[in-house]
Amino acid sequence: MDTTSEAARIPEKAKKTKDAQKGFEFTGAIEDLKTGEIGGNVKRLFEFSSLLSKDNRTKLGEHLQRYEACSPEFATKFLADRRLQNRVKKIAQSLAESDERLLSLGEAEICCDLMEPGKEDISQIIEAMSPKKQFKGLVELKGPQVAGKRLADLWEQLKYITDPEQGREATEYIQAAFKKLGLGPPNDPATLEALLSDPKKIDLLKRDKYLQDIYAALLDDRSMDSMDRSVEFYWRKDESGEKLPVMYVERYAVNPKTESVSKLGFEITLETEVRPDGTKRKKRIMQNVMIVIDEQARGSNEGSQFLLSLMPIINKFGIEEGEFVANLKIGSYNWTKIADMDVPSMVKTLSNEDLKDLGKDAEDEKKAKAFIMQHKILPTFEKNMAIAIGIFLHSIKNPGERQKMEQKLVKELMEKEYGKIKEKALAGEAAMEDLANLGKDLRVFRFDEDGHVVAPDNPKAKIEGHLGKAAIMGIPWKARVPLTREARFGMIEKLQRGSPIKALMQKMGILFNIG
Amino acid sequence: MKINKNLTSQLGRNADQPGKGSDFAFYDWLQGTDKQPTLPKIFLWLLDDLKEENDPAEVKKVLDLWQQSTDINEFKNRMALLEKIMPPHHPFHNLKNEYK
Repeated sequence: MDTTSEAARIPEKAKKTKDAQKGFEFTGAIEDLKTGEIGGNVKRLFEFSSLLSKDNRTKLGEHLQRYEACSPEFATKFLADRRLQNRVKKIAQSLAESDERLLSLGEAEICCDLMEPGKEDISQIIEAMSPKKQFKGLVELKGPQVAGKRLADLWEQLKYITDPEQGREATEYIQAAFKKLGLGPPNDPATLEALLSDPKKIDLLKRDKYLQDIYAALLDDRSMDSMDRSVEFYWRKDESGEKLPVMYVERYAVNPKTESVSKLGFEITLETEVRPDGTKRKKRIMQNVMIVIDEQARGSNEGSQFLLSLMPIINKFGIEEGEFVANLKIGSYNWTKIADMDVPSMVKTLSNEDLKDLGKDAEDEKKAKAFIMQHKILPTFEKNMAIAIGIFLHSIKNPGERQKMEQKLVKELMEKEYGKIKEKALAGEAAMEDLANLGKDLRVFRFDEDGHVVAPDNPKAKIEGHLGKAAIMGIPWKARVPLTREARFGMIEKLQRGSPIKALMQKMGILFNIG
Repeated sequence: MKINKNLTSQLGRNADQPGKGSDFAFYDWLQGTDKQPTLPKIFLWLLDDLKEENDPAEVKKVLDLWQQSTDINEFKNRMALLEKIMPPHHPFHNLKNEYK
């Protein structure tokens, strides 16, 4: 028989499969895909994946699990499902738009788990977090410079470790790891210079497994492998052991005139919520928000422009709630106007010893709130009250006047009024705003620009305030705010207290002809 | 590995420097008490965004919020504003009579 006709009678499908087995280069296609290159190799990958033999499908699936950090389910689906392939393609392309790339296909899996289908253009988020774009005169930091800055951040975090023994161990280990490479500690500018001139040292640091563990423990589970990137994907386990997807975006830029570094960033993740009827759902939240702004760069419109740029992102990517830590001196006070303490998030930050003491009460929101008030909020509040009153009273020269103010501040406010609020707080029934409002009408205290209480005649005294404000400043606490339309309108109302629209619009230079 | 840390926050000027970082200016800027009209700008954006809301229940939540947080005259002004700027088939137009 004529072999040509024999060849012609082989079905089209089988012919293509033969080509597939002869091979397009699978690993090459995956590498191209990760960098957002969707040319020939990737096209062939997608075309042939549906035609693979069972054997090859298994082999390639195993490759994806072993080398690309994919789960078995994702690996299988990726080789068969055109829609998932398109999602991965879009994610990779979007990252390429921001000069980023996937480190593994497993990162695409995390992104697919985190975002709804159709919401793959995450470069919109990455671009919105660019300090260079948001503020004037800044130069973006990239790659090794970002890695160096992150190591310096890591060093700073050591100061916040609660157990001195653990703090000492971590500090010594980091110092030793750097010394091995002939480097001083991470916050030394000479160290940063040395790392930049020899980036291989950064790779060597990355290979230190224990250092990786310390880095993850101090920087919210992030990985040194992504130290030089502006976006990072990883899984985080929640209390029930469930894996939740996390995307972390953070960008740095430097003011060349002052060398001060600005950074913008936040994390998007899913949280399991138990509805009143006992069913569960996943909600998308933002947390670990970083907005560190160079003083000079912050000029006329950047603040509102930055917040406005977050609004469409909240809408588009379906972010339902935001978690913020208020602990800057004045932040602790301002946030009390917007929200109350979020008890479950605060419980998550408790040390193991505290959690043991709290015990089963952790599940009772009122009792947990009372515990946190008693151990984490009120002691510092009381100390701050005493310091503020002390500084103020000390500045009064006239003894009669001083006695009068002592009566007012100590007897009436600190002992009587605060006593009532403390009772409420220890029953788990006080809001942060109750504390912040203490002595609202007596604005006798003065603060410098860093939020420290100073005597009224001190030339550094820039801002005035009342006792509750002075006492609450600098106390760290977590606030959760919903990000629905109504909730965002609600935050504005709380901050502007039902301000007349006309006045608002006039401030904008817009006049409406109303009524 | 779990390392217990005190809560930190990185919001504002000098936020990443311990002991510093109070940033009154940041919060003035955030809440619009400074010279820049931050809050009005966000309010305007939210008004424009409200046009996209199809669910009457969600629109009602905003109207209820305003009714609680503003005085009678201001509420009337805001309703008049919505009357002007909400598109013809917006749920607002079916709800507005409940607030007369």
